[in-house]
Parts: sequence; C-alpha cells; structure tokens
Amino acid sequence: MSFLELHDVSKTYGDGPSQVHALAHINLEVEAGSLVAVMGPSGSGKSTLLTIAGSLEDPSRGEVMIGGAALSHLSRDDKARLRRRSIGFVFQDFNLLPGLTAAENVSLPLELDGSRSSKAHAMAMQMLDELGLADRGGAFPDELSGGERQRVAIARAIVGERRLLLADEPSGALDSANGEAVMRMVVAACRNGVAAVVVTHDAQLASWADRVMFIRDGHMVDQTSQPIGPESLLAGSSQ
Amino acid sequence: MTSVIERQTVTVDLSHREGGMAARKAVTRWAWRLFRREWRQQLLVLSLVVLTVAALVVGASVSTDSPAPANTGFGTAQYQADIVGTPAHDQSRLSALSHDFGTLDVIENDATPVPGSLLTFDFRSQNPNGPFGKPMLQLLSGRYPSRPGEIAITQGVAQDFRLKVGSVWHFQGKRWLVEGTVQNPQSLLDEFALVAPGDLPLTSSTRITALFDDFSSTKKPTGGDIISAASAKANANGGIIDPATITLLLAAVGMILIGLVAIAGFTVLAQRRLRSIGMLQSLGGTDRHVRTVVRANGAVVGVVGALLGAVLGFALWAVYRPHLESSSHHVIGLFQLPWRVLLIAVLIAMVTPFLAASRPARTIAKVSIVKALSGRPAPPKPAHRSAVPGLVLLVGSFVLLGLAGSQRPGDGGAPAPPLVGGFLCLIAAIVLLAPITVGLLGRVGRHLPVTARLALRDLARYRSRSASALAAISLGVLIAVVICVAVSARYSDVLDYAGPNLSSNQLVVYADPPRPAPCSSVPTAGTGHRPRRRPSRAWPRRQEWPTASPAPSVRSTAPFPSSRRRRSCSTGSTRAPTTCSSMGRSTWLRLGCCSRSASRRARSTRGPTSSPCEPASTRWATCRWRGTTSHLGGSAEAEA
Repeated sequence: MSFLELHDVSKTYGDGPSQVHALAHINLEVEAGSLVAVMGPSGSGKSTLLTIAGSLEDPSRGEVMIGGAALSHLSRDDKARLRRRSIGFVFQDFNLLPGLTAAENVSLPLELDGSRSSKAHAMAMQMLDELGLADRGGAFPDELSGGERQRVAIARAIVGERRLLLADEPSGALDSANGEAVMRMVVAACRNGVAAVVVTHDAQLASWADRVMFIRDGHMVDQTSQPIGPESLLAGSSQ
Repeated sequence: MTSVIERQTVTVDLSHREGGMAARKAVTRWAWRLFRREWRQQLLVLSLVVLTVAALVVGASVSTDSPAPANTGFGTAQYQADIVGTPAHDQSRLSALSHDFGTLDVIENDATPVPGSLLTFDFRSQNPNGPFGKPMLQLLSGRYPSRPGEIAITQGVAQDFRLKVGSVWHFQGKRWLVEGTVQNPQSLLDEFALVAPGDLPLTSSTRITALFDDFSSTKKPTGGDIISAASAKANANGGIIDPATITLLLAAVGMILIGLVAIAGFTVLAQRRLRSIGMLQSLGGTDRHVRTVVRANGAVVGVVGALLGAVLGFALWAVYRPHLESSSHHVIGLFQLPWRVLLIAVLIAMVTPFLAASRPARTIAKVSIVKALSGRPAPPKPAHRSAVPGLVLLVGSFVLLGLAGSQRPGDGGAPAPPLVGGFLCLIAAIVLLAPITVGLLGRVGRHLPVTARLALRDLARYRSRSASALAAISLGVLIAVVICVAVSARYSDVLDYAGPNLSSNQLVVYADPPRPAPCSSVPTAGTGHRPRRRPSRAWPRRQEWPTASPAPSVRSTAPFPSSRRRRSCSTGSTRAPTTCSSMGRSTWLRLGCCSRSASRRARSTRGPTSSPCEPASTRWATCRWRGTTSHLGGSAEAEA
C-alpha cells in the first residue's frame, strides 16, 4: 500500500494575470520503503510538490493522502501532529534550529510530541550514533560542517516513528562525497521502511532512487517505470 | 510451493495527544537559548524595563522613607499623653492613666538653654528598655546611663559642650559623667542629654510624655492631652495621596509605554526569527508552540529586566540612603523599603513584556509555513479600521479633562474620576488613532522626495509595529507636557505648603494675629510630645480662607524635634507658636536643605526661645524681613 498518494494535485498562486500554475494534475504514489526522486529544471514545481506532500501547503485542487489520512480533512493542528509523528523534512540549507545543539535538534520533534526530555535525548543520541555523529551531539549548528549539519537534519527527519522522508536538494550545499554519503543514508532509511521523496538536480544522485519522475512547468512529463516486485507478480497471477 | 504475501497496512497516528509539559519545556528552552543568543536585539526593551524598575525602586523608597516614620513620637504605643503642670498634677495624671490603661512608658523632658546661645536641648529621662519607647532611642557608643550622675548625649550636645564619652560635665551645678552617645533614630534633629530613669527632678517646667496602649482596657482613652497614633498619622498625611499609590500609578503608566514599545520590538524580532519559526512548524510545532516561543521570550525579557532593574535600583538606593537620612533627619534602614509596592511593580514589569509579546505571537503563528521557511514576511494586510472609535474617545477625553479642569477642590467636587477617566480615554484614543495617523503620513509622503517618500511608505505599510511606536512616543510627550504644566502650575504659588523649594537660607513665614485658641502643649517628636491641635474640622481648608481674614497656618502636627520646636514655639496660650513650628517643619524637613548645623544656625537667628508664645507677626519681626509676599496677612519671606 502506498504511504504517500497524490491524486490530481494542482497548485495555483496568485489571481488574474499574475496567476501561476505551479503544479497541474500531478499523480504520485510512494510506497513504504521506496525512494522516489523528482527531477526538473528550476521553477518547475519540484519544491511545491514536496511542500504539498508534506502538508506544509494545501493544494488548490486534488487530494493528498498520507498513511491513509486525507490532508484536506485535517485541521491545522492535526497536520502539525502528522508532521511531527510521520514526516521528516531535509532541506538544502539544513534548517537546524539555532540555539539548540545537534542532539536537541534531533530530539525536538519527540519532545514536541510529549516524550520526556531524557528519553528523547537518548533516542537522539542513538540516531546520531548510527549516523556517525555521536561525538557531535553537544555541538551547536554553527559549530558543525555542512556535511555534519545535513546528517543531523537527516537524523532529525527519521528519528522516532517517521515513515515519510521528504528531502529538498539534500546534497545541494554539499560536495560530491558528502552528497553521496547523504544519499546513502536516505537509502538506508528506506531500507528500514521509510518512504522517501528526494528532489534533486543531480542525475547521479537520482540514480539511487527506485523511481524517478520528471516535472516541467508543473506537469509530470515522464517517469521511470516502477520496478517489478512481488506484489505485481501477485497482481498478475490474480488476473 | 505457495508464497503468501500479506499487504501491509500503513496508517498514521493522529490521536489528539499533545506534547504537554514536555513540549512546553522544549520550546521554552529554545526561547531561552534564543534570548541568550540575541539579547542585543532586545536591548532597547530590556533597558527600558531595567531602568524603569530601578527608578521605581529608588523612587518608591525615597518617597516612602522621606516623611518621618508614622510612629514618630509614639514608639510602639498607640497613644501618648502630654502632661504639663505641677509635679502633683503630673503624678496624679500618671496614676490615673496607669490605672486605666496599665503599662505606661514615661518620658520626662526638661528644656534647657545652651549657655551663651539661643539654642536649647532637653534633659531627658527615659528607660532605654521601656515597653514602648525603644524605637525612639539608639545607642551609638558607650552605654546608657544607669546610675545617678551618669548621662548619654547626642552628637549636637557633644559638639555644643565639647564632650565625649568619659568626659566629666559640670552643668548647672551638677556633675555628670558622660557614659555614651545616643540619638533619636526617628528625628536626628532631636538634641538631648539622656539621664538615668528617675534622675530628672520633676518641676513645673518638666514635660511628661506617657506612652500606652489600650488593648487591655475597656475604657476609651479620652482627654485633651491624649493623642492617638492613628489620628496623628492621618493628620500627617493631610489627604495627600499615598506615595505607594503614586508609585504604583507611575509603574502602571510607565509599563504601558514600555509595553507599546515592546510590541513593536517583539514584532520586529519575530519577523527576524520567521525562518526559525517555520522550521519549528515543519517539525510539527503547532500554533500554540509558536506562540509559546514568542511569549516565553517576552517573559524572559520581563523577568531578566525586572530582576536586573531591582538589583540596580537597590544598589542606587544603598548609595543614596545616607544622603536621604541627612536630608530627612531620621534614620532609614537599608532594607526599610516598601516591599509590597516594589513586589507589585516588579511583577508588573515581568508581566508587561509577556503581554506585549502576545500580539506578535498570534500574528507570527498565522504566517504560512512555506512563507516562514522562505524567510520573507507576509505582505501586510490592508487594514480598514474606522477612525470613529478613536475620535469618539478623543472627544470624550477632552470633555472629561475639561470637566476636571473646571472643578476646583474647594467646590467640594472630586476631580479625580473625570481626570482619570479623561486620561484613560486619551490614552486609548492615541493608541487607536496611531495607525490611522501613520497611514495619513504615508499618503502625505507621496509628494515628498523619494527618500522621505520611501520612509513614510514603509512606515505606513508596516503600521502594525510603527503605530505602536508612534503611540508610545505620543504618550511619552503627553506625560512630559502634563508634568511640565502641572509642576509650573503647582510651583507658581510660592505660599503653597507643598509648593516651591526655597533656598536653604529662606523661610516662608505665615503670620496671623493672636487668637484665643489654646496652645497648651508644645510638640516634641523625640519625646512623643505633640502640638495641641484643634479638631480638623475646626480649620477651614486653605482655599476657603477669606483673603481679608487671617489665615490659619496649621499645616501639620507631624513630629518635630523637641528642641527646635520649643525654640521657635515655646509654651504659651496662643496658637501662633504652633503656626511657627509647623511652618518651620514644613520648610526644613520637606526641603531637606538644612543640615543639622545649618538648622542650628537658623534657629539661633529666629528669636527668643523659651519666652511665652506671642503673636507670630511680633515674634518674627525679629527676623530680617525681606518683603511681604502674600495676601495672607503677614506672610513673609524671611532670611534666616
């Protein structure tokens, strides 16, 4: 079953002559454990797709479903609850909260959801340890390198029971080595059952994905075929 | 072989479980960290809170501690009786009081001139461990006299007679051994020589003060020689608003201004943190979490500012306290502060920034997450506010203020309600009209050069924060103007008791012709002696005095050092001496310009000391007149 589903999603900004169609009739399904890369030129609507998929923004038309829940039926607080329990974001410029250490950044979503500080901190440190940042837990964001910051952001995005990882140019501000390391972590998260959507310009990084979709001027112009899996075999036999 | 693949059901948990205390703790911690990182950006609001609280601490302490203590002359007693007469009469009166009210603390005084001068001092017999009089006696060095022939003196007496502890003093045919130096903490102008209890022979000139309580008695203290501490305190206040109330009012007004500035400051700060706020929301922070972050920042500013201000104010108070002691002529403890008032003021200071941060918190929580993440503030929404409420309040304020201005205190009406109402309406009108005024400025700016046009346009576009700053500035100017007008009006009347400060060598003398009113007692604060006063209703308010008739000059019966009081207004049967002493106190104590030595110098130029009371106009004729300054029949400005 798909964890993320976009059905005929369109997004329009502005009114009248200044109206801009950022997305038009986008359909997308991302299964748990799969990695989808979204490619396209600048201004094609990739980031808009990601923000709509992550409930940061409402579509003008269409429906977005996450884990079976239609976002159009959720209140603002419900969406916030959904984000902190199920969705993790990774941005190009890291977006770590200033003033909080790496460990505190990672543990913040857990604390926002009611976990005790000590428990959340322990889980954050465990996650940082898995990403090779155990000794940097007490460092503030401005004391970390770019690669370290992005790894902290990934740790924050997948800590707890997160099931959906949305990454917007996660390697955009990194060198190729760090970019590849980041993608490797995203893939590792997918292996653990996380559904991931990665927006990237880099075809080499997109090659890590199970599926690549191409967007131009808000329209999906192409996408690679879905790899054959056991479910498709099952579907074929039932026919 | 058959394989069964189970389709996984993936759902999300959307149960209404909030973060609760853990979430609040997390966002508050983040707000604290942000404050630590970016406190410089909040320096304006922080400084305003610190300075206001410091000023309130110092101002409240000075205004509360400047007047003589409420129990001056009473110690811890509720009543005092001033007994003058023959020794037999004194003894019988004391016996009667002791019979009616139980324990008495008896203080005997004998006014004695300093040879070769016009100064006097008291020979005083008082038990240092008396049940009520302890607050009126303090040992500075040595010990209290305990045996006949032993004495303890004040510093003034020591200077006059060149004595010190251990000296042998031959005075009026008797030999005294100086055992210590003492003072009356409630009146540093009180000069006396303390002898052992019972070592002062009773004569007809001996003035006896008996302090007592009536809690154990069913009989109400009555008698012309009895004064209650409560009535003395009420008369000393004279209907003037309590300093604590004034301080709290000032705190409230000051904090309103700071709140207006803080709203603008926190709005700017929230805009700067917009991106971080967006990050928090993308992590799952709700609107409540966002509001908590901004409000917590306001609370932190309030708490830090209030605590720093309190510490700064206390330090300033500690530095200024000795000067205040010398000018107010009584001992003031370092921790003798109006704690209740200060606590309320500090709490107001803590709460104000928190409340000021609430509006930006609500505004910033409504910003779209994507726009917040982009760091671009949302374009201001066009505000279509009606000017009618503001204009109505403005007109209402003018009406109320006009009504208050047309009333005179002598008319019997109370100007306070329309005055307060008028100011409240005016403040509300300024706050409501400020955004409209800023908008008008933007329109006017169209015809100006580009630099001014851009500035005014930005001002008008972001009027949500510029309007509050404009309102704060307007209110600040309003307060300054009100103070200037009030002070100039108040101080234009040189004969007003609470009016202008005279120089240290000037006195305003209100002389009135002798009256048959009794003046049987002479006030001596240090010993608990009080001036014999008429009931308050017997004295018309000053505004009611006919200009052609003699003006009664009683100002206050608040305590006054015995020696000086006796010096200027000795015993007699007319009311004129009381007038003199009251005025003397009014000028010297209030102005705080007369040091002990200066006051003694002044006393020496005033006139006969222990002569019977005589009409003030006659007695003050001994002063060098500089000119009559009032219509109040004989008022004059005398150079001391």
